[in-house]
Amino acid sequence: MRVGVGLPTSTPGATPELLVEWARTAERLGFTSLGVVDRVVYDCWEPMLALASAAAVTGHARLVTMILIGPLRETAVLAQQAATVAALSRGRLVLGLGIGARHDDYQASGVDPSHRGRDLSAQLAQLRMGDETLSLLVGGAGGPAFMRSARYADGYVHGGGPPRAFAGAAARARAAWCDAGRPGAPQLWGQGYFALGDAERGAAYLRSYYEFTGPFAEKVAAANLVTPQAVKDFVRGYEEEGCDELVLFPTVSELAQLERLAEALA
Amino acid sequence: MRVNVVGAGPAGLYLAILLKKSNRRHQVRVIERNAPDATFGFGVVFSEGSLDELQRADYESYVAITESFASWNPLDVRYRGTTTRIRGNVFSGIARKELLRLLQERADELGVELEFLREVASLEPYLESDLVVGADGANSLTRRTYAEQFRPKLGAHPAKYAWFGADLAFPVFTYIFKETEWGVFQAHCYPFEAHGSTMVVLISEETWRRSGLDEMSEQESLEFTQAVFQDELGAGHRMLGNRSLWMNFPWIACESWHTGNVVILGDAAHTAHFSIGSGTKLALEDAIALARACARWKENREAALTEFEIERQPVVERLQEASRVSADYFASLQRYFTFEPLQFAYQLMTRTPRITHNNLAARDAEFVRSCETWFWSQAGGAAPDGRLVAPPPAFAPLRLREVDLANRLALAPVEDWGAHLRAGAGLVITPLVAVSAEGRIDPTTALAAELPQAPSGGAEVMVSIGHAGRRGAMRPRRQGVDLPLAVPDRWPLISASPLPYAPWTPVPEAADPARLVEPFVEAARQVRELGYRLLELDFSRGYLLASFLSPLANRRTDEYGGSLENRLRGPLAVLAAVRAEWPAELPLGVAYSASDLAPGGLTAADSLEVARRFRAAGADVLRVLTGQTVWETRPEYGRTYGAAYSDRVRNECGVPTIAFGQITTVDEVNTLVAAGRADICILDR
Repeated sequence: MRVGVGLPTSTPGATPELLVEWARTAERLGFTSLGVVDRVVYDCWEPMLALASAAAVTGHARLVTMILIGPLRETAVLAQQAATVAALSRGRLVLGLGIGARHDDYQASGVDPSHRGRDLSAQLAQLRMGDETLSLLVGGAGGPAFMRSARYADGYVHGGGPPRAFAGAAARARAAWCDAGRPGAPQLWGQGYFALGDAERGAAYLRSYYEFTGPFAEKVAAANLVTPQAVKDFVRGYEEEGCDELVLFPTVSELAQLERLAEALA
Repeated sequence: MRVNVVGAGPAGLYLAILLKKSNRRHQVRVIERNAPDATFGFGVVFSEGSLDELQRADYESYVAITESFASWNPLDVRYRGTTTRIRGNVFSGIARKELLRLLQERADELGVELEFLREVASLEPYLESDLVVGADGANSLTRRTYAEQFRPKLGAHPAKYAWFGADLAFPVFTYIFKETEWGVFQAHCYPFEAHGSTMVVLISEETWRRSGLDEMSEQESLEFTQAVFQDELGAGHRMLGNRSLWMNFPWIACESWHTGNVVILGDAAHTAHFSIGSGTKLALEDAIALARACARWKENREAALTEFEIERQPVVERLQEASRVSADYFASLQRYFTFEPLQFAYQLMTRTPRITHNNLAARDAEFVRSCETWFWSQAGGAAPDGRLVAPPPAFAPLRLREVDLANRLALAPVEDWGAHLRAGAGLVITPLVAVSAEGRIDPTTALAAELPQAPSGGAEVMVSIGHAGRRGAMRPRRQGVDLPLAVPDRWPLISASPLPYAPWTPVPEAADPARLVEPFVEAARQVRELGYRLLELDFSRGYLLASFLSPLANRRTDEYGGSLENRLRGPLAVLAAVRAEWPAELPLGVAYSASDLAPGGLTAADSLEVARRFRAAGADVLRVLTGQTVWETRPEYGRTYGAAYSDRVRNECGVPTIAFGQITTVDEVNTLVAAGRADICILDR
């Protein structure tokens, strides 16, 4: 299993300097991918632009959206953005798409969410037909998400949780792959959150980020990986469940977090 | 902390005990509309796992309760005059009255204020406190008062049920299935004291009406039901009533269980069907979790109630899901009444996916061994007489016409099926082999005319012939599914109606029904000439013949569209013609999508009718698939998700089936095959 790390694009206090330094340092420390998240109605940098910046200062880490809310973007423009980031990074883009979890992002974007699932399917098919070399993943929890990932993408991005939750989703992703009659096997990506040495700030960020889920926010905050042992157990758990690449997202915008994470994984 | 608990059932009393125990200074009051000794229902049952949690939470009440328990380990299934006993199922029962008495005593001892005979008509007088607990049962006033905050989802199970007592102790937990002229009467009977049992009786809505129970008084209904079960009760024994009314089981689930200082628990918040015997245990565990969260968070009520909810909701959801499967099973088990008693009991035990062949063997090795030997013998396994052990069901042979399959495992590779012949499965099903060049899915799809000679040795091969219809002229599936070839590379498509499969795929022409049959017959001839012995017609997943079956794809106005009869006409013509061509000694299968998994698709009843017609037209085995008849569907993946469809088709229509859908272990295959849910299972790749 490969281990990547998220970019600080939605944590409080992110700066341009930090973003660039973070990307460089992550690659130097051996992380294999740099991930971004996507929210419109939240203090969050636009994911494709952030990846474009990271592309300029890195050489081999993959650049992955986990996930980008596809239906918010017009497909031709998204295809062009993807082609641009792929070109700037010499083919390192992995475009993870989903329908997202919040209606406010749709409202703010003026997009009707009532057929977002169909829109995403059509978008995935268009992207795939337009460029067969573009890596596509799909995220989301329901049957249709697994079906889309099997029909139009290269694999599935899990939304986070303990290894057991990932295992359940991975089994469904494989089942959908079989159901669709796709040869081979899906790529399986997982994600988690960490804050090493600053549990309070990490939890505060997660409570704020997941406020829209109500009581679930507390649960996410409580699951934040705040000790090296917790990180190790989590990584081992994901590896055992057949995850191909696990991306750990920071919950505190400090470069020291990266060093501590690398140490925990050493 | 001042706490008002509405309702002195097990949840309310137990919570009061635990809160008071955690801090003697808490003022805990329980308000109950009935008298302390007035209780409805007879015994309550605890199944599933241990009561360790109760032991840790309050040792005193744990000891008092468990000392009053009637515990038993075997259960009996009485069906068609036979009793089958299965060991290793730990159940405990206690009279509800006794349970409440013990909890009342303990609450009283700890200084909980108990107010009986006080009707709560409004929560208003009780809100001036730190915590208001709605432990007021399935009909909860608290939940109704805060419906906007709790957002309850309510439903009712279609079957009718009523709680009775009996004046005898059944020897062990007993299921009785009684066939009557009005339909099946089921009783779930648990002994809970030396001379008393609870009998929950279940019947279908039709049976309830046909028997006249719908118009009987409570006394008449009691006498009628007693007469039905008189043989099982034994002469001189009686059933007892206590508000024994026929009801539909209420489904209750709430998005949230708390708002401000109000919280609900137990049946007020969620119900779980009595057939898995977990309602009381869930209620008591709720109380434990809530009391613990209150102790941990002390002043921070919001945090405590949130933690309670987060901890309990996933547990409750899992049990509710299992209980739904179980309730549906009991409501539909008439379809298994052709089963031999042993298989019937096996099917009953494995009704939810939580119990597999291996789990059952751990509980009662002997029962499973007798099931295995029975299964092996009836499957035509060698040396049936006097066998004491046999290979597990997945490895029993199966005969289809004059072809013998070595076992019940099948593989359905999407590429290079020839490489799977010695993988151990008895059957290898090819990917779609096109009956014509226009019928290919993509340029790599094999043509019947181009198949290699039938291989010898290893698995039997079932050649699946079909026409891709509007799902043709696509790119190879390595990159994805239903992505059309570039325009110059495409070939013309046909489908029942000129509707594209997906918005981005080419529009097909309406197929000419007169030209459907010949390519299939010709392909069947070719397949036979190459020496293959099993043939399948692929009428599934949106391919050409599936487009005739599905009302979502078929908009024809001629005699091939509209009614089910008309939509069946094309597929049945192909089936009949191929059956006539295919040698009588060799089996012919059909693959079909038993559900479109989309609104407006094939109805459940039509789906079964399709299977019956296929069987009547000479299909020897049906591969029961789901979905893909239209591009955007709502599949529900999960362990052995396709088995329920296979089960329905096999046992409602009396045709052997091949199940598919997230079947990944031999243990699952053993379970599905032995329980009669499928005859063959396709293992996921």
